[in-house]
Amino acid sequence: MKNFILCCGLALSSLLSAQEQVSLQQESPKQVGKYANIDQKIGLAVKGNTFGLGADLTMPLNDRFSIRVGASQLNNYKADDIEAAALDVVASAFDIDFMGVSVSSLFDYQLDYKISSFNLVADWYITKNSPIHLTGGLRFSNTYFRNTFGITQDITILDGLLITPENFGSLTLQVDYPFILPYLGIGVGRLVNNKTIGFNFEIGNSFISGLDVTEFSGNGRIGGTAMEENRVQIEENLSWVWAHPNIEFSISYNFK
Amino acid sequence: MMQILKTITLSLIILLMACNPNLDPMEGVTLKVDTRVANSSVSMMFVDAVTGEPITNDIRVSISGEGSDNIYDISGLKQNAYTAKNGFLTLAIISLDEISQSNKINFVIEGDIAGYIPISRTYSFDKESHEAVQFKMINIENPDNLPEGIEMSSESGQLIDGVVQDTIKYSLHSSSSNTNMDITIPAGMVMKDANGVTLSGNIAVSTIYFNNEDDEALSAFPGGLNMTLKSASRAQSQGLMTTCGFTKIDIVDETGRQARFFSQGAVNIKMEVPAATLKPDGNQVMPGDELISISRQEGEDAWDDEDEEIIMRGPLENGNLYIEDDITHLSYHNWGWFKESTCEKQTTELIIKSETLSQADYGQVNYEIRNNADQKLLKKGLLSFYYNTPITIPVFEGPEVKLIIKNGDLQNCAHILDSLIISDMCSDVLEINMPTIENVLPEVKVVMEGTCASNPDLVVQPSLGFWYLNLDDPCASWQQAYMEVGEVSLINVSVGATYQVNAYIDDELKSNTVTVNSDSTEYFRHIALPASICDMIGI
Repeated sequence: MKNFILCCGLALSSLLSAQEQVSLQQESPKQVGKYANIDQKIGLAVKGNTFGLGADLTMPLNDRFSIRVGASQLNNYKADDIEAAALDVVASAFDIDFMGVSVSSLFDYQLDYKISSFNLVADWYITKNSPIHLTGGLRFSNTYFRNTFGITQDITILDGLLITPENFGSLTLQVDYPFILPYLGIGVGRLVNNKTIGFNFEIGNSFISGLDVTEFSGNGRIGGTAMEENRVQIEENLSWVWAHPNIEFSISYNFK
Repeated sequence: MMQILKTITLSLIILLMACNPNLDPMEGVTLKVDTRVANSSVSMMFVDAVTGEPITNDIRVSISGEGSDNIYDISGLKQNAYTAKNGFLTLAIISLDEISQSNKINFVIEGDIAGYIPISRTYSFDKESHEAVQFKMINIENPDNLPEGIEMSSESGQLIDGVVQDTIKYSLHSSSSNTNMDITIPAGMVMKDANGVTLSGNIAVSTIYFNNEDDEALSAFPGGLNMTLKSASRAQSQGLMTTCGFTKIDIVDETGRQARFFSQGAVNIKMEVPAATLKPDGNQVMPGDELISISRQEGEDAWDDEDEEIIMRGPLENGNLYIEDDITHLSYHNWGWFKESTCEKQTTELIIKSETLSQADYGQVNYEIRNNADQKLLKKGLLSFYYNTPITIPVFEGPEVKLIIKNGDLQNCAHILDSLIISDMCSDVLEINMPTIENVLPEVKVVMEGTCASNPDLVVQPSLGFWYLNLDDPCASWQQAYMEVGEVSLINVSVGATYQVNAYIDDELKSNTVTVNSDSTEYFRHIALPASICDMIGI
């Protein structure tokens, strides 16, 4: 708990500090009507964020409000690297000998994931001429992490009885984000302005009400582990997951 | 760009995880492991032949034969000999290649316990299966209570430097077949043990005579009547023995040394044979008929042909014929006719048909295979099967046989369900009908999990042989089931009855009682695994 408060405090203070710096810059010579009539324009942006790569369509309602509709996706990018990094954790979680043979060094972990969302958010600029905005809305998520655990090679038990990876079996655990994720963020920049190109940098969070374990299946000798009680237990263990932090950078082209 | 994104994403996830104390998504998760080591097994139950009760003392079970290397304890432990606990034992048949017609596993199981006649059975696995066998052992500590057809005598004598001082002559009488067996141990004969050391002092002579008529006597034929015969003069062969009777003689001196070989004489055996005895060709035995004399050492998987010409003699005043033989070594001795098998298969398929039950329905019956000409028992046992689905039974080639299926095996309780005359077990298609069952008794599922004290979060789903008995029904017989990966279905159970459920696992018997309630068909049992199993699994 102490760590949690500390981390959240650090994140909040860095946000406030960023906002303060932007405000100071805006206090120097101002251009009145800088964003006048931008409701006549729309912006088509490409973006990169922690939900992947995507695009946004930005429609200002006036010089303080705009609506952003878009989508982004990240699909199995560098999954192999993540698998390798996570293998030690997996091996320690399943640190057993099977019939006298240690299998922890033979563990195989495969990850198949998709982080994807469709976003519908509104930006509220704190002043008519301010690039700083608060953002809120919803992300409609189609995000899953499918994890498969097994062994990589044959093991020999007794006097030569071969246990193949297929015979040993595997466990598959799929966790999904809930479909609807409320989103809050704070950003700097206007994607739609009176120039041709607009920028936006934003940090925020998609709020997750725990992860859903949508599949826990297994086969082979360890397949019995995939029982409902365990699925519920894992889901409970993952109920603390409440956030998908977002850091986003967008660049847009403005149309009239 | 993607590298930056990845770094940011992972950093944030790691940051969030670091902020949360519960990082292990597998915490509290029970890991279930199937430690099954074989797809084939043989579950044994050793019972007293007279009382039908499991023998409670430890029984030493040894394995011999060419396939003995493939036999393990059901938990995968390899031992020189195994121990049946409270009469129960399950062994695994492990083969690196799938057991099949081209990869048969042949072996002999022999059970031995003081006070009982050792018992043995030959097994041939030609496909992956779980077999069950009930060994009926004959208690010789109480000779007055022996089964019909088995007689026993205890004599004594004296040796000096291995030499028999006075002739020892005695006779055993089987009242059920009205036959005698006379033994003469002549004075002057020298007795030596297996190492060639002479016996000395007082000797105890124990003799068991098995006639060739009664079921229990024929059931005790070492290894079974389908046997392997080896001879110095010809190749080893498989075939069916038609016995005229057999005997087992043990001689022990006062130091415990056991006689094995004789010199300067031989033990003379005169054994009467009922005149109604049928030869393999179906004709009655006649004076002048030739027989063979065969012997079998304990622990051997084959009989030895003594290569002697034994001639049937008689008749005697009581109408019996007789054979006479001089034996120069001690072991099981048998006289009869051996018919070499020409059938390519040692087992055949039988379908138990039912009009009302389907292939999904599991059943269990007792069975007998008898020579149809004289109704002598060739084999009996327990059949576990799915209806309308082929199961394997041994082939008895030669005589026309009668296959009988029964409900139970207790004399006053069992009733015949159906029978089938089979003219040639080698080639006939075998189908037998189960009568329509009016009231099918329910089936209950028992789920069992085993844990080790050192790691209760790791659950072993055992695979082992299971025996169960209705304690409320005096006519009930033990039924057998095989628990696979922690689950077993017990069929034909009576609602309201209490069952004793026994399972053997690594030198321990796990015994439990289950009362079947009408409103519940699944029972859960937890067992604490023996330390040796936990060590082996590595928990």
